[in-house]
Amino acid sequence: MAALSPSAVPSREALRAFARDYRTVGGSRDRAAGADKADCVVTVGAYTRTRNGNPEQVSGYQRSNPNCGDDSPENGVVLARDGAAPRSAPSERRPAAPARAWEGQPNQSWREQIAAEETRRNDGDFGYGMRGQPGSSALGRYQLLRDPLIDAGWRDRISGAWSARARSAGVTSDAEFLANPAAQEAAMNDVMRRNEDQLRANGAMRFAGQQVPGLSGGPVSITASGLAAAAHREGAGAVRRYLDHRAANSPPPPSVRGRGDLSSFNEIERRLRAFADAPYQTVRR
Amino acid sequence: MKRLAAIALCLLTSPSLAARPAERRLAWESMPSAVSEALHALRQTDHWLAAAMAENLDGERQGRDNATGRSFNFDPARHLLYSTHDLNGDGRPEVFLLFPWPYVRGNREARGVVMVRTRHDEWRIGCDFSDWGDEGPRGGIRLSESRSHGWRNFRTSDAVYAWRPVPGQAGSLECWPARTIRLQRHGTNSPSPAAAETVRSR
Repeated sequence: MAALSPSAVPSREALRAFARDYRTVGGSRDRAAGADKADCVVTVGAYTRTRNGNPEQVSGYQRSNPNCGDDSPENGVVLARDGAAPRSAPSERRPAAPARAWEGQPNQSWREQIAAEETRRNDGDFGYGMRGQPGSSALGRYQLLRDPLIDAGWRDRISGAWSARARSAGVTSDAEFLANPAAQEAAMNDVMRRNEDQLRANGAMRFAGQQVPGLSGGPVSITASGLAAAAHREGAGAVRRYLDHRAANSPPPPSVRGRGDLSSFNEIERRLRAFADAPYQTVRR
Repeated sequence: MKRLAAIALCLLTSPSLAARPAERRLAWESMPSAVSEALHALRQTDHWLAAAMAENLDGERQGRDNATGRSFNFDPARHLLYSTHDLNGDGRPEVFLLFPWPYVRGNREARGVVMVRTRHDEWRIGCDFSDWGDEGPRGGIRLSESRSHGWRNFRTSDAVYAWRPVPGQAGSLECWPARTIRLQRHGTNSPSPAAAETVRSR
């Protein structure tokens, strides 16, 4: 079941901006369908757009219709998607939330791939409103845990409260973080910088451009993109351990139930392969 | 002479030196000795966590914040959680050490070790485990009523752990994940915490 994520109803200006931003190149007119008031989800076909003067391919996706609920924003009802029952909108207005806030951020397609791995949500709120499994503190499109957010200066270690850095981005609670895609992208930038710097400090980045023998056979190409993706999930320290292990062509670690080294190494290797070709540029300050 | 006596009298009656009946002494606190001993023992091993703790990622000025935030090096004040419990009834607590350290954790469960004592009072690693830590209701060590080889079984968020003899080491036991708890990172597959006692992390 898809999670219901209340969001602000965009204004007419936002709708016009959406139409303006998604101008197509070469007369292609296959992008939007079903933009009727009655439909809460708009299916957008693949199209080409111009960004910074360059043509850019955008794959098909679904997004919420800005017109949906246009006849009822005042009565505090946010229409449900996926057949779920409508529920009351929060009394306070949430920050304006650009639906595709990752666009224009560093390493846009890499982020899309990370989000596909973490939240698997390519429509609706694109995973921004998603919490992790019960018992985990993972939040949002990139399923950031509390500890990496602490490490990146967004939360306090002892109280878990959101820091001044978070407050400056408009976040003082988990709910506000989930409702604020721009803040999630900013936090992701900070976490990415931390991971990159740790990969540099522990020497893992020096493996970029090389190949190591894979646990599952065949060579694994090491790229900055793959390293960053693996560190996002398993930590820069575990990535370095994997690289040392594979560079020495050591036998696979024993398979144990639970979360043993083999499980961690397999996940690192899978990400190194999956993200090897994703364009990636450093996000260092 | 009179002047000296006056000075002495002043000092004795000074508010800063006079005894204050309402004064309360604040005791210094430190990590429980079992925990610090267990952590110390772990750091002497070749375990990968010990190797990570030995790394210096900060450069010359260790522990100082860097351009992207806090110091990268291991800091027990930020990167260590612990629980203690006497699992075998010998009057000495075993120690669960958990490392919610992003450097070794990334964005998934934290890794940890159970430190146990030999009959000769030396520490050794009982087993590795994973747990969500103090991040929500699922995290924490849950003690089972069941025992194996006289040691209390326990559960973390990733598995139910039991005890078994260490091959080739008479009298030594190790914990092992007897039953894995299948987790869905983004789902709602939550095992029931019923009938288990939670040992709270620090």
